[in-house]
Amino acid sequence: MRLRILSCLAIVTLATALLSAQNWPRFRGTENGRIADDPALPETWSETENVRWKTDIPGVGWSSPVVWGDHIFLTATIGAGSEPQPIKGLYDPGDENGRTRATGDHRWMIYDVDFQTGKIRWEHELARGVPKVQRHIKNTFASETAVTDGERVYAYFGSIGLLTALDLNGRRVWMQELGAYDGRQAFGTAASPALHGDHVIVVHDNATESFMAAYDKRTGKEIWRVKRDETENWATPFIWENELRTEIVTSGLRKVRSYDLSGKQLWELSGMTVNVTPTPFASHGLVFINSGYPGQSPRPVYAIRPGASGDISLKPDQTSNEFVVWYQPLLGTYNTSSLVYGDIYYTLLDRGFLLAHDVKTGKQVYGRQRISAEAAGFTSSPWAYNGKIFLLSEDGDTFIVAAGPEYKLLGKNSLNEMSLATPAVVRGSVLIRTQSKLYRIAKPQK
Amino acid sequence: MMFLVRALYVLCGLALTGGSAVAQPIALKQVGSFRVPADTVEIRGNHVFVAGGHTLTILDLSDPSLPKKAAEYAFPEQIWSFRLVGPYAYVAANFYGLGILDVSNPAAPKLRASFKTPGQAKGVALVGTTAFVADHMSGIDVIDLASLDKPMLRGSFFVDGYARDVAASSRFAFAVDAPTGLYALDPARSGTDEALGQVQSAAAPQMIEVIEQGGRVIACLVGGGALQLYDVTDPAKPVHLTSFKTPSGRPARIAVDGTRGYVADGREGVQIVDLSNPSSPVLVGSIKTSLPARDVAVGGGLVVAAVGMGEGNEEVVVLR
Repeated sequence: MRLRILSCLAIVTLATALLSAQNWPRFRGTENGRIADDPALPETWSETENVRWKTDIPGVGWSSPVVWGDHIFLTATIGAGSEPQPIKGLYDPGDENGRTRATGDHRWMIYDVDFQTGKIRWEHELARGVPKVQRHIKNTFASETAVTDGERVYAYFGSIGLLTALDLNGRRVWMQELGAYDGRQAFGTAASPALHGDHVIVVHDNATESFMAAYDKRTGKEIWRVKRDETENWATPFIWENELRTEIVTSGLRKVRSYDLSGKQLWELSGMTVNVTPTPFASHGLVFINSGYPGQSPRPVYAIRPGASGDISLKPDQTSNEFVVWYQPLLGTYNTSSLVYGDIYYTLLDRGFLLAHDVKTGKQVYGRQRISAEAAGFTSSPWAYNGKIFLLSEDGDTFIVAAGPEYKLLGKNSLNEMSLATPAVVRGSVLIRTQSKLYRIAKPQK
Repeated sequence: MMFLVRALYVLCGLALTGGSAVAQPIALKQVGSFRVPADTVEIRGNHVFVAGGHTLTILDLSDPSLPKKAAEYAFPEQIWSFRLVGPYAYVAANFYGLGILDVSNPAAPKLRASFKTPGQAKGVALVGTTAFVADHMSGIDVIDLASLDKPMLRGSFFVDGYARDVAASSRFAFAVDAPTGLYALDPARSGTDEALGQVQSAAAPQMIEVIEQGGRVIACLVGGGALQLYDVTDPAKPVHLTSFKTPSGRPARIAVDGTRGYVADGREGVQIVDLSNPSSPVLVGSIKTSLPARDVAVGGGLVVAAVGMGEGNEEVVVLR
C-alpha cells in the first residue's frame, strides 16, 4: 500500500514538474526553486546579454513574478510622496529600528506583463490611499507574491488587508477586506497567499488579531478562520502534500504549526528565533523549516517527516525525535528560503555564504563558503537547473555555483540594480525583477 | 581610550597568584563640563575627543574646569566608535566605513584615508598597520594600512551574529558580536574566515577592551548585562574569569587605566572597579552623573564621561 502511495506521489510530482516548465504559479514555483534541466535555459546574462526584453515596472514591490501561459503577474505600490529608499544589506537601522510610516497616497497595483513582448498588457489599481501600517525601510507595501491557477490571479496586500481575485483579463472577480494591522515591530508584511484546491489560504500574523483563513477562490467567501498566537511573521504558508495527507505548514516565532485543510491544528513545534521569514518547503519526503535572524540564537533548521501530531518540539539536548529527522541549531537563514537540489540541502546565508548539508541526515557536506567579498547581501531565494545553483544578490548580481559536494564558483551575471525578489523560471526563460524593471533572460531564438 | 587601555596594566603579584588585593576607595568630583553631542569619548594629553552623531569634536582640556572646543570634523555618517593610535583617529563611521583622521594637530584634524566596508562599520582596532573593522554585514574586515594612500582589504573573519566591536592586543584582535560572544582573531589567518578561538559569552556584548601586561591578556566585555572578564592570554582558548554586576546591571562602556576599570553605568553614573585580580573585581568608587553615563575615558589624572539621554542633551563632564 505504502509503495502504491509513493508511486502515485512520484507520478504527481513528475506531472507537476512538467507542468512547472510551462507555468510558475506561486512564490518559488511548484518545485521550490528546483527547475527541470533544460539546455535552452540561460546561464550567462547581463543588462544586454541574453535579454529578450526588459520592462520598467511602475512603483515598487519586492513580490516575485508569477506566470501562467503568456501572463506574468506582478504587484507594486506607487507612492505620491518621497519615501526613504531601501538600503542594501543587513544593518542596524538606528533608534526607529527601521520603521517608517508613509504619509502620502499610494496606489496598490497589479500588472499583467506579456511574456512574449514584455509589454504591460493591463494594469489594475486595486486600492488607493495612505497605507494603514508602517513598514521597515527595506520592505515594501507589495512584498507578497500573487498566486494563480490559470483562471484567476489572487493577490494579497497585508499593508491594507486586501485580498482579491482578478481574471486573466484584469477584471476584478471578488475582493475581501481582511483588516490591516501592524506587527510587533511594525515592519510591514510579506507572507504570500497559498492556493490549494478551491481555497486561497492567507496567514496574517500581527500584534492585534493574528489569523489564518481560507477563502473560496471563486467567490472570495471566507470558508474558515483560525486565530493564531503570534505577533508577527513573514513566512508564506506551505501546502505540504505528503505521502499521508495534505497539510498547511506555517512557520512562526512562537510555534511552527501545521493544520489540516479545514484549519484544525495537527502538530506544533517550538524553538524558532525572531523575525521568521523563510518559507517552509518539502523535498525527499520531508518538510524543512527554518528561521535565522543573525542577532539571536539558536537559528534552527528542522527536517520533519509526515504524520506528526501534537507537540513535536525537541527537548533540551535532543537533536531529533520521532518526527524531527534532523536539526541544525545555527543553519537558519534570515530572509532567504533554502534549496534542495539533488540530495543536498543548500543554505544561502543573507550575509553571503553558501553551505551544503545532506538532505536526509543534515550532516555537513561543506561548511561556510564566502560567495564574494563584494556582495552586499542576499534576500532573494536560490534556484537551480542544469547542475548549477543560482544566487541573486541584492546588488543584482547572480552568482553561479556548481551543484554537488564541492563548492565551486562558476561565474557572475550582473544587472546592476538592487534585487530582492525571487525570480521565476519558465519555458527557457528566467524572469528577474529588479527594483525598477522586469527582465526576461533567455538565449536568442534560433 | 585604547591608548590608555594599552597603558600600563600592573597586575599585582597577589592577583597573579590568586590572592586578593586591598582595594582603596576612590572619590571623584565634577570639575567641569561642556555641552556637545556625545556618544563616545577618548582622552589624549590635554585633549578630549568626543564623537556624537556624525561629528568628532576635539576639546581642549588645558583648564579642566573650562573645556574649550579646539576643532570638529563631520563624517557623512554616524560615528559608532573610534580609537586614537599614533597620530590618527580611526573612526568607525557606519556606511561610510573606516575613516582615518590625522589629529596630530588637534586644532586642525584632516582626513588622511578612508575605506568603505560592505555594511555598517561599528568598531575598529589596530594591530600594527592592520585595521580590524567590526562590520554589521560582513563580520570583522581586515584592512591593510601599510600604505594609507591605498588601504587594501585582506579578508574578513566570520562572526556568527552581528559584529559589535573589536579591540586589539599587540598580536591579536578580539571581537564581540551579538548574540554569540567573544572571538580571538589572528592577523596571519585573515584569509580563512575562521577565528582562532571563540567562546559563548553570558550575554550579548556591545563593546570590548583588552588589557595587556606582563604576559597576561584580559578582555573586558560590556553590554547586555554584567561586565564580563576573560583571560585571552591563549587566544585559542579564551577562559571566562567572572561576570561582575555593576549597580545599574546594564553597563554601557568601559575604560581601563592601570588596574582600574572605569565603567559608564547608565543612570548609576561612573563606577570604578579594581581589576587587580580580574577574577574577582572590586567596586572601589563611583560618582553619580547628572545624566546617564554613556561612555567614559581616563588619562592625565582626569576622568571624562559622555552623559545624556541621546536626545540632544548630551554633554561631557570632567571628573577628578
